[in-house]
Amino acid sequence: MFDESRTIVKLWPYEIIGIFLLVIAAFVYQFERKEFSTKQLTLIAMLSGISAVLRIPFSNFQGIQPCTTLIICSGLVFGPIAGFFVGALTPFVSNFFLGHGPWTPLQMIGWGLPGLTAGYLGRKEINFKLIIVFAVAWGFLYGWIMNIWHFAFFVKPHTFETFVRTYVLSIGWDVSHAIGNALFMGIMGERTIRILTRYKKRFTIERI
Amino acid sequence: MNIMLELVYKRKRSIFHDASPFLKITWLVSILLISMIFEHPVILSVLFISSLFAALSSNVFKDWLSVMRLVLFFVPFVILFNMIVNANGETVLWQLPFMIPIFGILNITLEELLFSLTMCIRLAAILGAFALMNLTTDPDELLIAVTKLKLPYRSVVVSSLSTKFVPVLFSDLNNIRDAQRSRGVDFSKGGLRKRIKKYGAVFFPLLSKSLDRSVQIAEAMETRGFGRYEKRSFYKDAKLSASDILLIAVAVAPFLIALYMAFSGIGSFRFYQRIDPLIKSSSEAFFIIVMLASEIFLLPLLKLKGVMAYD
Amino acid sequence: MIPNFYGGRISGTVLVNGKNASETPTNEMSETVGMVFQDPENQLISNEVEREIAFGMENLCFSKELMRKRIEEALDAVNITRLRNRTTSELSGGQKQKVAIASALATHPDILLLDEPTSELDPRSAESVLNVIEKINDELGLTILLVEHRLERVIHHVDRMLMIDHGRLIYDGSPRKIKSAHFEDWKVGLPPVTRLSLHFQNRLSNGLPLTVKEARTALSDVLINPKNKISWERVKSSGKVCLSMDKVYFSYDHEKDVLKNISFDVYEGDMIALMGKNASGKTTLVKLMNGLVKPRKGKVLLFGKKIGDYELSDLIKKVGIVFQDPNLHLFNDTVEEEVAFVLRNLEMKDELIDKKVEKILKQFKIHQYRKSYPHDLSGGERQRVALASVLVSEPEMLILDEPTRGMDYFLKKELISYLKEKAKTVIMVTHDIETAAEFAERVVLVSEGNIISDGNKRDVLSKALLFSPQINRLVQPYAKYGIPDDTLTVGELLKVIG
Repeated sequence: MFDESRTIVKLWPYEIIGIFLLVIAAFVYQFERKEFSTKQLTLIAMLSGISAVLRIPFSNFQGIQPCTTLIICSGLVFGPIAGFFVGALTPFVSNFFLGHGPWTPLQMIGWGLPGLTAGYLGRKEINFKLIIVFAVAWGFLYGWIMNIWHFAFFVKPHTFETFVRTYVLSIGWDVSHAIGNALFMGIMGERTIRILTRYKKRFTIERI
Repeated sequence: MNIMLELVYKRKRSIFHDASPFLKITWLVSILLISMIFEHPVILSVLFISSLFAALSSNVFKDWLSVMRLVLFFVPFVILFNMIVNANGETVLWQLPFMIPIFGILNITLEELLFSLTMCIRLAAILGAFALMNLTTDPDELLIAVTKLKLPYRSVVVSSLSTKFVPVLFSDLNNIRDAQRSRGVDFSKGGLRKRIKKYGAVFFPLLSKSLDRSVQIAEAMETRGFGRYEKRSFYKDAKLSASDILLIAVAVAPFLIALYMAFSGIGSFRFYQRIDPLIKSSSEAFFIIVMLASEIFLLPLLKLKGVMAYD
Repeated sequence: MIPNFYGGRISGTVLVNGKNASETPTNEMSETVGMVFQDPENQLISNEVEREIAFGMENLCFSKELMRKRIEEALDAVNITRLRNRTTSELSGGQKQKVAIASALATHPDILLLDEPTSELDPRSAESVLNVIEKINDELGLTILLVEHRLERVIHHVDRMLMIDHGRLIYDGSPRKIKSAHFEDWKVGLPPVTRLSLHFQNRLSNGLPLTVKEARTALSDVLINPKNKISWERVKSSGKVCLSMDKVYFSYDHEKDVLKNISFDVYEGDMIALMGKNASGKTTLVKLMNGLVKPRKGKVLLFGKKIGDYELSDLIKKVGIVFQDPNLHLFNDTVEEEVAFVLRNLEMKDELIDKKVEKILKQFKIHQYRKSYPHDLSGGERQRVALASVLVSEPEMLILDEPTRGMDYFLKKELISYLKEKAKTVIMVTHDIETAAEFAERVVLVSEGNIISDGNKRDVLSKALLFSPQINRLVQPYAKYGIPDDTLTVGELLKVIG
């Protein structure tokens, strides 16, 4: 049954974590290079704080992750870099309360990327329905990113077969996360975007 | 909600609270890396035992235990997961009487069971070390230590502000919930859709209030010169004393032992198809004992340092 | 002085020590101007007191030795040396404000600018913060610019007063030279003794008195000759019980009781002022009254029925509660929606809702804003929207948590007269003794989880030193000349002395 030659993906947890840490480091470097005003810094801090607060009470329910909605909306309104940081800081901050672990960098990527991609999406006029689809997609993608970790950590041997099985097995979680995202985005998304946009417009100076 | 906030850093005194953040980071990373190199149940148990001892001597044992209870919650999931994903091992304990598409015949083997349990020990070792770090280290102090490693200051400010505001935001959240309940929002009723709508009554005021807050904080920071110059000075240095460096060396020692073991092929452990004996050779036993001893050796040294510091 | 922050239009120039304020970035201004803001929560950046004070200096690249010296100095200047190693989050509001002042002082600014630094504090902590500010001004000779609209506590410390109304500077001079004509236009609260003295301006030789002591000297010949003989009536309660608490205990953590053995009845038509220090248990008491928290022991009966047995929709028709911070209430897109929200939760018909909302918006003079976004309104307007959004459901009993905090004198007066007219039974949690004296009939004092005094305002607030209004303190020595010693407000005293 078990045959070494069929091992096509040989994944080690620390290699994955290493790669993810590098990605995060690259973003931190980008962040430091860009000119951010103090207001933008505290804005990012506050949004990720809220996002962490939204995550903490729901951390036991895989399907309900209201923080994803806030992260995507932040990206849409304030751009990719801000979106990434709001997303990445969400698990980083909330894990001071829920428990840090080797999973932290993966979660940072799993929530940072939706913020980042939403930032690029937000540069064009877009239909709100598309945003819901986008949120649904990130419900799945987040699960798939976290699966890499489960696969590397809890599964042995690492073969194509066990890889597929791991991913098929997680469908239940992923679907519930995606449905949750659709509901939260559908019900709260538009108004969240409106509040954030209003805030953004309010802080521009005009001289006469 | 309040229970969660119990499990965070509180200002206390203990050998771990007083230790330098660098030392704690080293200790944590060392345990993390060792636990990832080996799948050997005994080595992983050694790691768990060392974080257990560290927790016992750190005045946070009760909180630590309640974090560890999480691991127990994981055990059935990991076993179930392995049962479905894996089809290895030769000692079949139990078999599902029918076929499932894609997955085929499901069975539990002794090897799978032991692998799952070992992975739970690994999880416990890692979670235990992280939990102890969490419970004994001020996030702010940790972040300052990180800045000293020449890491960018601005990201550190953002993360530290964000962490600082979580408790404030929680109390805002509770106040808003009270206010909205007094306006007739019944959070205990309604289907999923209706409930999410009701959470909006809490979320939107929180968002607006916090955006106002963020502007005021930025204002307070700028009036105190934040961002005036490219550089800034630091009032508190996370400087390392000679004794700290010695302690860090002690904390690295188990990792060096682990590396030596890995390169000389000691400590590997096979689960499939047949499980290895727990201890294969006397040299393996020797190294494992040395590793345990060097992990535990750190604690009296920390104690000693504490005693010396008070004199 | 730090204009580069908010959106808006600016014209003209502001010079601070020769620097043009609108062309100088805020963080450069920081070397000349130290600032302290209203909300202590929003200006502390670090977790530790020492590091908080160091923050400004770190930004300006001070050396470590200098920082150590300045921190020592700043801690000493505001008398908080013993707090140096504490975590900022465990400090009280007053202590936080002192830390903020120390941090502003540490960089040795030329001007210290304080924006309503005591508006979030209870009277005792406010007093001690103000004492610190006065000391800094006296001993260090630092220029201090204080923005404030409640003048009773600060006016006697002030050398020069600038009054701004609708964006125009309308007074600039000594507070002792105010004319009653000025006062009519102003929307600020002068201390009651000063307001009283404005009526006798022709008899004053040394300018307006600003404290009780000054007023006694300045007005003694008026006070020893009261024109009318009046004794104040005490309004009797209706005797119909709305809410009753019987031996109630409450604790948040099952260890320490926040409320101990509280027995307390509210009668229909009562106007109650609930007073006490911060963390005395007032807010918890109020939360018990509308079922937000449940007692550990004892009974709370609302109109004869246990409060826990009410459906939420019935409960909110009985008890309405408005919290101090209107931002906790407001989240809808328009004022109209905001006010209608509670009625929609009660599942009323749309036409009825429209009618009720229309009416209350007019009453509160916010009808012109009905389509505006609540967060775009000013603080006072927001407060009115929050009030309207609760009052619209016409609750039998109304509870207000610090409704006058941040309100100016005239808004306060308006609110009080509105409540007296419209609301049936009102319980107002307040720090403000003058408001309690004007508004309430009954005053309840809470301290450390116990009710220490409960009765008619004239009995509770007279001769109580710490909890007496200024006018009451003023008249004490003149009781033998015929001024009733339970006179509480300016209006009342004027009736007596004519």
